[in-house]
Amino acid sequence: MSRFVTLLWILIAGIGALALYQIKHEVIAQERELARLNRAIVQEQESIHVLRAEWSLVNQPKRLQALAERHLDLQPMKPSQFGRVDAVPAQQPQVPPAQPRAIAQERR
Amino acid sequence: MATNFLDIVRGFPARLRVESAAKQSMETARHRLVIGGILFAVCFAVVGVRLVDVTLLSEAREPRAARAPATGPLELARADIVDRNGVLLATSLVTQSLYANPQMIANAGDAARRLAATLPGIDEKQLRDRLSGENRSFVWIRRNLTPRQQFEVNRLGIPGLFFQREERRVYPHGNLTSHVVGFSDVDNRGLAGAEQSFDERLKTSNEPLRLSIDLRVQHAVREELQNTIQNFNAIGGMSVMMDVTTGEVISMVSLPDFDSNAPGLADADARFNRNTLGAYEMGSTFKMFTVAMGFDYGVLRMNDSFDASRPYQIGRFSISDFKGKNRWLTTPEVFIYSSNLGALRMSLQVGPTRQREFLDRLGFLKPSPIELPEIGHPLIPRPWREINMLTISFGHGISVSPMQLVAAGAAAVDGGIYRAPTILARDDATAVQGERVMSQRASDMLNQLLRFNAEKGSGRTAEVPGYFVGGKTGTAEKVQANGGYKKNARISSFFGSFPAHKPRYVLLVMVDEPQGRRDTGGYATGGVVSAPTAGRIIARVAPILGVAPMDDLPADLTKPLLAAANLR
Repeated sequence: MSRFVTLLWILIAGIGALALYQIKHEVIAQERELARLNRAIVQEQESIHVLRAEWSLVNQPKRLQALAERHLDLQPMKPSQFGRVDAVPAQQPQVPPAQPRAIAQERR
Repeated sequence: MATNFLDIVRGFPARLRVESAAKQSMETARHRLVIGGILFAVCFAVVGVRLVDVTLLSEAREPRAARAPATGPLELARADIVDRNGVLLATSLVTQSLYANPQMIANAGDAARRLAATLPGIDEKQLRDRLSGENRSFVWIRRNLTPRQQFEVNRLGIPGLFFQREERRVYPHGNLTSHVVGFSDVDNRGLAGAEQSFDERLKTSNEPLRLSIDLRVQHAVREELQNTIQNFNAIGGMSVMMDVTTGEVISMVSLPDFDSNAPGLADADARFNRNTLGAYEMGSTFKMFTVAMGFDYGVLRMNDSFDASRPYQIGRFSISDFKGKNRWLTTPEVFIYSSNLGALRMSLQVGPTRQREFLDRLGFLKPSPIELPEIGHPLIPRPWREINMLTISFGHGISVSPMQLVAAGAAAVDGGIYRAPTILARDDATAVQGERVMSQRASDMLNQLLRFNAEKGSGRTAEVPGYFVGGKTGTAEKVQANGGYKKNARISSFFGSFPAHKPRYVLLVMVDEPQGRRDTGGYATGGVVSAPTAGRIIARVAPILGVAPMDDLPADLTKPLLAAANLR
């Protein structure tokens, strides 16, 4: 009886040791993964930061204005182009429902 | 006591004790053993309890989790600077800087030759001397390399070269905000503009610093001003726009300017912020304060007339009008014809003491409170004699910065409430407490005159259909180094407000030494140079600022003045 108990304890201790070893290595691997992810996050943040600076750079008003003048058929807004909400007639005239235009879908 | 206690522990009745010497010593040994045993048991119990406590109860969390590097938002040595809409104006980018340990470099000549071939702008001979220095162990070779340069240097494979992670300040908008944002040096110390005045704030907090500048407005103003400078062959120009309800500076342009990314390449003139550091005689634009002063002290009415028929003599000086009407003029006429004699006679009714006190209230006698390190002192007469009072009434004999004029003008058109100008964006929630510097009535009457001048007077050229500008022009001859006035060297200016009946924004445009053109009849006055520029600026920025265009102004704004003005 006592021999059996002893063997049982040795078995339990062995299994415990193995499990501990296994878990320890898993933890080390996971820590490594965590550190790698953290490094990647910092790198991503730095990239985002650089991209934000670049976004500001490519959005220089001067550059946008030059691009708009070259590629768009737009003019600065004139005061006469503004309307007032209370100038809109209360009764809306009947308009047939507009077909959704393909271009509206293309632009999300 | 101890004996009785131990007797009970051993379970012996006291009467069975044998009183012999040997038994006695045996007994003592036993006592000692038991005491020792109890001590050990207590120690083990404490350790055991602590063990359970540490592993299961109080420290039951994963202890290692705390040691893992925490990733919050990116930490940088200096916070970003953004405009009022969040557009990035200044930021820090992580770069690598190259340094060398000369002790570890085997062949300095070879290393210098290869580095000079890789990095442009490196002097091979100088670098070789520095690398062969015997007693140094740290030599900067180049700060802030691009990733590509870092790769190239790494590929050289020279031992003894190292990289240091550093942050480099970049200004994506370069020249556009040079004087407001300023710049900082390679060691991230702010040396000018907001970079200097908010140096501590930028270093301690990671939150972006939000300025009151609107970059779109800033661009429009700079472009229009630059065009004007080119058209009139001027040497410079400056402009400030301010929100009168909050004191926020919406745009501040001083030309020539410089690239904040390379301030070292700019000369002193380009680095000079004319808006805050410069002090100028403002000329006729100052007359708006003279009439406001007259209204405020209650000594001036719209229907009053002033003798502008002949020059005014004081001592050996004679003061006359530029293209004068040579007759008596009413208050609105004095304003729209910009009569020096009229303004002078208005000031005579106020007197030097009250004039000085009035200008002090408007902030003209002390440096502007705006949060920029480049602040100039106004040049004011001491003592303030009658002759000073007379010339100051039409803007001569006192030199103030454009920023001071704009802040005072904003107070004058916004019901007489002065608000300290700021380059920081204010939160909408916080109401800006101003300080009353003149009566509401004086301010209302001044607004009428400013609008009237834009309808009938020298400010006509600033008119923008739909936005209804009010304003006053000015043309001041520049003071020479020896004290006299320079002919053909003038500053043409325009102070405007819009919309004129209830001004929300004020704008000052000044052009330094414009030259007359054939198509302007050789003129380069405020009405020819600066007012049209201000008009173009307002037409461009009013939609950006959300000022709704109107079909008509309230009809009674300038009607009363028409009767007072004898227009021919």
